Amino acid sequence: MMIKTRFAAAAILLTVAFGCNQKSDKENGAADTTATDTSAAGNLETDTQVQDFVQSLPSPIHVAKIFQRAGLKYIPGMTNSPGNAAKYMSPYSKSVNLGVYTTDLSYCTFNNQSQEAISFFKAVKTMTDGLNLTSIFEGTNLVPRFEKNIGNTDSLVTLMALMSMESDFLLKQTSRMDIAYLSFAGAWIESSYIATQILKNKRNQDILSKLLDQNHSLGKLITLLDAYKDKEEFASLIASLTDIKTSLDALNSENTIAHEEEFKKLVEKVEKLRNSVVNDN
Amino acid sequence: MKFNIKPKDSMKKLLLTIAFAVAALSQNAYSQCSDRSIKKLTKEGLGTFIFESAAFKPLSAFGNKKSLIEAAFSVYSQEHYRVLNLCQGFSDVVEFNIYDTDRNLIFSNKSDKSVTHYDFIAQKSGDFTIEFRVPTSDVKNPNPCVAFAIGSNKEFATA
Repeated sequence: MMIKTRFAAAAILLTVAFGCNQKSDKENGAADTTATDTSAAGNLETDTQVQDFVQSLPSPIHVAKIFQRAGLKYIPGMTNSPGNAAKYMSPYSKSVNLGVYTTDLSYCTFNNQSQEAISFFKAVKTMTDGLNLTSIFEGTNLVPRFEKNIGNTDSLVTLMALMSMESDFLLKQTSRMDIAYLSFAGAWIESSYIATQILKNKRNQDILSKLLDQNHSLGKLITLLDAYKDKEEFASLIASLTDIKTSLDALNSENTIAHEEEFKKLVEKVEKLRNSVVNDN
Repeated sequence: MKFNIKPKDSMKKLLLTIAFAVAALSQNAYSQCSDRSIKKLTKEGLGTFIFESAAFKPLSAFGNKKSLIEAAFSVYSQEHYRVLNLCQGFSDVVEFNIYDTDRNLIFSNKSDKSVTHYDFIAQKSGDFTIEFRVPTSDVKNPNPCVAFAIGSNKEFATA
């Protein structure tokens, strides 16, 4: 009788314990990862202030949308080739080109170039797989869902945003902010490249205004990358971005395209850096 | 009916079971700040807004005495944003304040803490700040979570 009572008590405890956990699993999903004090969401000290959270950067998808609304139209051949995805070997080139392809994907999607978009979606997956970020796509079944929604821009944008969220959470949870910053750098370079190439041929005040508006996020990016300046590739990237910022600062000083020489310098600097990134040299 | 289990063995099993159950329950107490739960709340809270960024940390990560927690997030001029307060596990809804690029207070839920999100159009590009005022001692949960997410409206722009 005593034994029966003990087993009954144990059974009740187990039921309570697992009952609660089942409820938690329903709410939170299985295979949960819990943030810890040592996670990437840990403090990041910058030159200017101590932040309680890792500083957030703008979404490359949103930036692409801002440019599209300003009148940035799709021009074939402007993007990186999705076929280049297989040639990026180092974590550095994979990380930067992850950003490049994210911008190309957004650029095509917002301009209703669905077939090109699927190629870039796969290129993004190739980059994330190479960086051991496979759960972004595997856990969400994103590629088949993207293919299924070809032609439906709203659904594709929703899926891109889901990809962006999965990536953001994973990189912060696994303390891989170097990948996050390099990827943002690649996205920033690619969107600025497309904008400057279009402005080079045809001036558009709205696009120029949005391009000059990227100066703030560039400054923030340079500050964040500074934590990695001891690495050669990072140092070179920081130097190139700082040089570009010098031109943007000058152009922003009067917010006009009258500084023709400075604009030409900006175009050249962005072009040189972008080609170096996509050609991996 | 007789049981073939000796009382000593059954006691061991009972203790093991209790220990297992307690471990499971305490694990549950820490699930407030999990990426799954924050992701779920982010998706639900953003609605039609497109994900920009999110951040979350257990309160303990800030030290025991920190009551004011801040984070900066980037905005573009004339763009439409939503900020979600996703703090969980506190005895009351956490007060959150939002400051613009010039550090002017543009929103506070102080007078109505049931408000957990704020939508706004940025007047100029730069960094906005979200500030959380959290209770330093909270008995409801051993490890509350400080969390927020930002979304942008892909359709809307005033420009």
